[in-house]
Amino acid sequence: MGGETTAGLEITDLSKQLGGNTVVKGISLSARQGELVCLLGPSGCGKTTTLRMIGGFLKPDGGRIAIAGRDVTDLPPERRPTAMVFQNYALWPHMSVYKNIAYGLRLRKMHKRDIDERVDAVLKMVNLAHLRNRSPVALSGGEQQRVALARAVVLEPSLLLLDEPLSNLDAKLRVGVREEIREIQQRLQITTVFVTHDQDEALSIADRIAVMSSGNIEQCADPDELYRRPECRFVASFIGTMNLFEGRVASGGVVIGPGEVFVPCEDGVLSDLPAEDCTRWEIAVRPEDVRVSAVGATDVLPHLGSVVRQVPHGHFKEVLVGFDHEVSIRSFVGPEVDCSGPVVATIRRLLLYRDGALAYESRSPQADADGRRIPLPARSVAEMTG
Amino acid sequence: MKVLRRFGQLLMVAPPLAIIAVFVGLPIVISVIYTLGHVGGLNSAVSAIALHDVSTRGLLTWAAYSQVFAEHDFIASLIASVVVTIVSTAVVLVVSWAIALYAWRARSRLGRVLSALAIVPMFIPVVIASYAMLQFWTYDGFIKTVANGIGMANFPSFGYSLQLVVIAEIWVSVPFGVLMISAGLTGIPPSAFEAARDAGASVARATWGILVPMNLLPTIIVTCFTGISILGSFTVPYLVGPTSPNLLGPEATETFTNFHESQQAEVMAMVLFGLAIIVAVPYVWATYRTNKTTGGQAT
Ligand SMILES: Nc1ncnc2c1ncn2[C@@H]1O[C@H](COP(=O)(O)OP(=O)(O)OP(=O)(O)O)[C@@H](O)[C@H]1O
Ligand SMILES: [Mg+2]
Repeated sequence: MGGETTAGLEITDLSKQLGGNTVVKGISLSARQGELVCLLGPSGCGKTTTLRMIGGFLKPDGGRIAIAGRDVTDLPPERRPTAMVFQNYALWPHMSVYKNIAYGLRLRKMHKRDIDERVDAVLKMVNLAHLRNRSPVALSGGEQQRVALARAVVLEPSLLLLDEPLSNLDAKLRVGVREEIREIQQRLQITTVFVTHDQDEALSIADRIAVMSSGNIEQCADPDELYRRPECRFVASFIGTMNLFEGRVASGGVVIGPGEVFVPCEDGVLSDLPAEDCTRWEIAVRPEDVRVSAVGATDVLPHLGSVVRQVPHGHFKEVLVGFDHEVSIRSFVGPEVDCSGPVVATIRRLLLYRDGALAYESRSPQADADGRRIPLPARSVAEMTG
Repeated sequence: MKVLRRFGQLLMVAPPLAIIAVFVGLPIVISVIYTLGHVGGLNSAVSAIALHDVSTRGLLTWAAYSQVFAEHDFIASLIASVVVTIVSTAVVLVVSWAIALYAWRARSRLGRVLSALAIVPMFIPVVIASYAMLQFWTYDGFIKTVANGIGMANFPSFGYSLQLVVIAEIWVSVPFGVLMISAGLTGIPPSAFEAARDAGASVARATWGILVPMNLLPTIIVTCFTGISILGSFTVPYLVGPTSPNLLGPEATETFTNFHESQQAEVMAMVLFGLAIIVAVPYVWATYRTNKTTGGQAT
């Protein structure tokens, strides 16, 4: 590791065995100074293990960890410039809120006056100044969470580590607190690793997301990129809603499943592929990239489907279009689309995977040129229905 | 209605209370007034066989107390009791914490084996253990023989010494200490300790600043109960300790059975009782405080 890197965090080839299993399999990850990186993945994929190695609570079996350009792999937690917010907050019940936050500063032998100043400032930042002398036992979950955050940031760490910090809060509070965390993180410009298994959480606050699955990082990219261009099948199925089929490409569309159901694509979607290609692909299509339109009874087309289920989401609805041979496609459509009769589904954008890896990405439909944000449904529905 | 219910509750606890009052309370009261010079009445029997007892016609006399406290042997035994108690309790605390802490932190097989081994003394009768200790440490015991064999003729023998009393008391008390401290530690989430490390505390500081306060009540319970039981112990010091000075337990027994000074023996018991009350103060304070902060939900 060179001393010249000024990256906030640099992990190389980190691996760890626990109980005979390789839980983390040689992952590499870096974060720029001030960046918030989410570790996102299903339960048991090794997120906590990775975070605990970064914090110094677990000794890696292999690989290096550098924080702010300094190799910390062999340092104990108390000598690393990290601060962690634990999933259960881990506040000390025998100390007041003030003492909890001041503990680390007292260890650094700061003057009482300076400690007071910094604790009060950070308490104000998390809006808890009025609870300064309370015992943490007498706080609500959200308040405890903010005390834990305050206790971590008061140390002005080079790297902030958060292990599912919101999982013990109710849904509404979770959204509020995560915005608060993001706001504070950006204000203080602290490099942050945020572990979560909730993709909404990751997509909404991360600068970049590292998707983990069984001890590997599958893809590390910014939320837009991750959503639009999942580099492997796992990420495609894990992030957001995705239609995934086995199939092949035919002229003007794709043929799905063993039943060979033909679904048309818009012009240009398959333009970079040979028209008749016999390769079996894994075809991935976002629901907002499926246009559903009602057809008149007189139209006789080979690929008619019908809406078998619809879930209203307010300004759009999620519909499941069923075809023959038990093939069905999920789509987000505007509330005005008539779903009572036969419908046609047209693909506006797709991704093709072979052996689990991204092999083809169709050019973005016109409407995407202005760079829309996630979550997409509302706008894309508006666009496709004019 | 309310009065009736109160009365009903009182009625329910009455039988055990009565038993305690008659079989424990009454003898205590009789003993107390005996030490204060009342040799008649219910004390006349014991007084009849007692040597050197003092009596009073008035309300009370402290003569028996001043007599006992003027005795050199008694003072020496009192000091021995206090010192042995403090030293043994301190060692028990340290050893129990060390074993429990190791098992809690390492969560390894060695940790489990160690904390299981620490409980073993609980299953060995004190009499047997004391004799075994004696055989092991005495002037012709195992340690001394081995030391002689390797040319250390001056190696100390702890047979019939206060040192051996300390060793045996530790043996007897460590299981309870390990059990209590371990039980307390299992209730502490590891992240509380890790958070302290994260904030910059070394293992020692995090243990002292976070684990000990969070595990304070079990620690105080171990301190007080170990202290009281060592202070009033009889079997261990009687079997492995010196003739004099020894702990107050055997000292009082000797005064009673060998010297037939019943009153003086009971005065010594009163002194022990007083010491035990002092030792119990932190326990009462800690439970009171815990009850207050948790609203009485936990003990
Ligand atoms: N001490 C241990 N001994 C053996 N296996 C362990 C140990 N700790 C964790 N594991 C295993 O390692 C894997 C990864 O665990 P980890 O806690 O990192 O998962 P995670 O991604 O944080 O999951 P979650 O989202 O459920 O918290 C799991 O399969 C777990 O069973
Ligand atoms: Mg976890």
